[in-house]
Amino acid sequence: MSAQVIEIAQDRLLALCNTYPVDGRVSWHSPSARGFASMNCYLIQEDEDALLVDTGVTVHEASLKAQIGASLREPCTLSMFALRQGEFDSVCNVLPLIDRFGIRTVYGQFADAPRWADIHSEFDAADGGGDDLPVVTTVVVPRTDTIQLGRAGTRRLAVFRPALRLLTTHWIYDEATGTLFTSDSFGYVVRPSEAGPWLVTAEHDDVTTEDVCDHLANTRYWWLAHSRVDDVRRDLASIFERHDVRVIAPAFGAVLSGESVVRRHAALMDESIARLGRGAVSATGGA
Amino acid sequence: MTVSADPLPRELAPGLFWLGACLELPYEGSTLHSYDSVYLLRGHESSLLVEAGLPNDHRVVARQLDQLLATGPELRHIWTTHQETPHAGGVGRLLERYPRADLRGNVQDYHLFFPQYEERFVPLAPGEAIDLGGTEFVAVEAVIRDLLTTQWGYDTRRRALFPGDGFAYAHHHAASQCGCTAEEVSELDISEMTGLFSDQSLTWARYTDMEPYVARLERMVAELSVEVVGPTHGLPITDVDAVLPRILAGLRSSGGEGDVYRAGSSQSDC
Repeated sequence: MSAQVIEIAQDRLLALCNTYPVDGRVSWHSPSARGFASMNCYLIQEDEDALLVDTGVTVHEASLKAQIGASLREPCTLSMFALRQGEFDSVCNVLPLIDRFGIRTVYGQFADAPRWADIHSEFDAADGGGDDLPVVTTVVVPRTDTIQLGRAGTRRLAVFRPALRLLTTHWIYDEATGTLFTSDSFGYVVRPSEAGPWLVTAEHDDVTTEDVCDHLANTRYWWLAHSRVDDVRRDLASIFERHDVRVIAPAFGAVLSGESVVRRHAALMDESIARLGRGAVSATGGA
Repeated sequence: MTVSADPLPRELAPGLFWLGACLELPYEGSTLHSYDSVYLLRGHESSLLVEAGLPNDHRVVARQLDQLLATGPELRHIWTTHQETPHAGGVGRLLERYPRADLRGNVQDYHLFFPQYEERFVPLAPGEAIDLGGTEFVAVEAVIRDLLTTQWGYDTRRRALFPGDGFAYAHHHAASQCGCTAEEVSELDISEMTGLFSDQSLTWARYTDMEPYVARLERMVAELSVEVVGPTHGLPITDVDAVLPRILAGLRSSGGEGDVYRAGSSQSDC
């Protein structure tokens, strides 16, 4: 496994990338996919505020701590947002990171986020984590909300639930950097090498509609096949119309960067969803 | 019906125990409860745990297991329907607590979450069975699911089906419905609650024709001659003929716009 920190916007947004093998053992990649992918957490910083988006998986705990430790400004108040609080790849490192960085605020979908993430026996959030863990406030985020960072609250993060979701999920749009954090969507990029690149630019973009269809149909979005997808497509289109998206930042896969790349992948996703809805793709799931 | 403040564990059929704790879900001015249930199956030679529980519940489940395993065969298997924390959050703690137990089911992804136990992850595919002595636990197709990796389980001796997120519905704490089976709370609108849960947690259902799923579910229940249903989030069912039509009606009605989780959730004391 290798680690990379990608600067999406200087001093303001970092992608903390840690790779893992795509070898048929990871359910969020198509069974036919082989190579490597990156688990991505994102560090947003503004003045003395910082927000970590998602916490990745346990095997990356040490690397992630090192990446955050080396990247955080001082002084700084770090909070975190679990985009899918009921899923391991969003919350595996919630308690280790609370412990390491003294995090006191967690944004998520359900109350009591530390206890939802209490999967490791070295902590016990039910007991307040003993004397070691700080008191943590969970902010239960409604369907839509805005989080403000920075001294004047000028860094505005629009938070919302997309129609394209499997479980309770939020996406975030960071106006300052044009970054759309898409959680488990747009996570289909697999590379032959751990070296990536984990930033997809126009020069490194070889994803096809067939790749996206295979990914959706044989992983978490199996249900799109033969579903009524018009509402999902309409919602996705409206997200890209409402926001000036210049970077797509998924929880896994690779970061998609640049206006032309974003436009292409928005179109790839839309076309793939449409194909699935028409029943034009062979899928594993469905009744 | 009045139940005790701590109604679980409860024996639903000989050697089949219901464990866990309620999860509070504030909803439209009232408090709904849902379960993140765990079930213990005793065979003559070994015991199997159905689901590993929400991490919030780990202390409760540990206490309940201590009580039950003191007089029953050793826990050798932990089986989960799928890799979500409400179903599998307790995997790491349970494997640590029961060093001779393995994790069964679809075991993708767990090597990234609990790498220290990787050698104890043993795949169980639909159609395959675990012999507990006097009964078999069989992995079966998941008719209603979210993650594609989901599977359901079936216990041959007690004809008990464990459908994970299928048969999921909330209940009313204020009406003392905690710890009851579905048949014991006739006033609970199971159809409404099933539709509500489906809309919130099975988002895809609102875009999908549920009839093929309903038909497949009816067929499975008939083919397996199911007598007990142990859902992860709903109340257990011991009279399938009476309750199944209400569940199916709820699945058909999925698609509202309420938001059961909006106000948050927390573990209940009951």
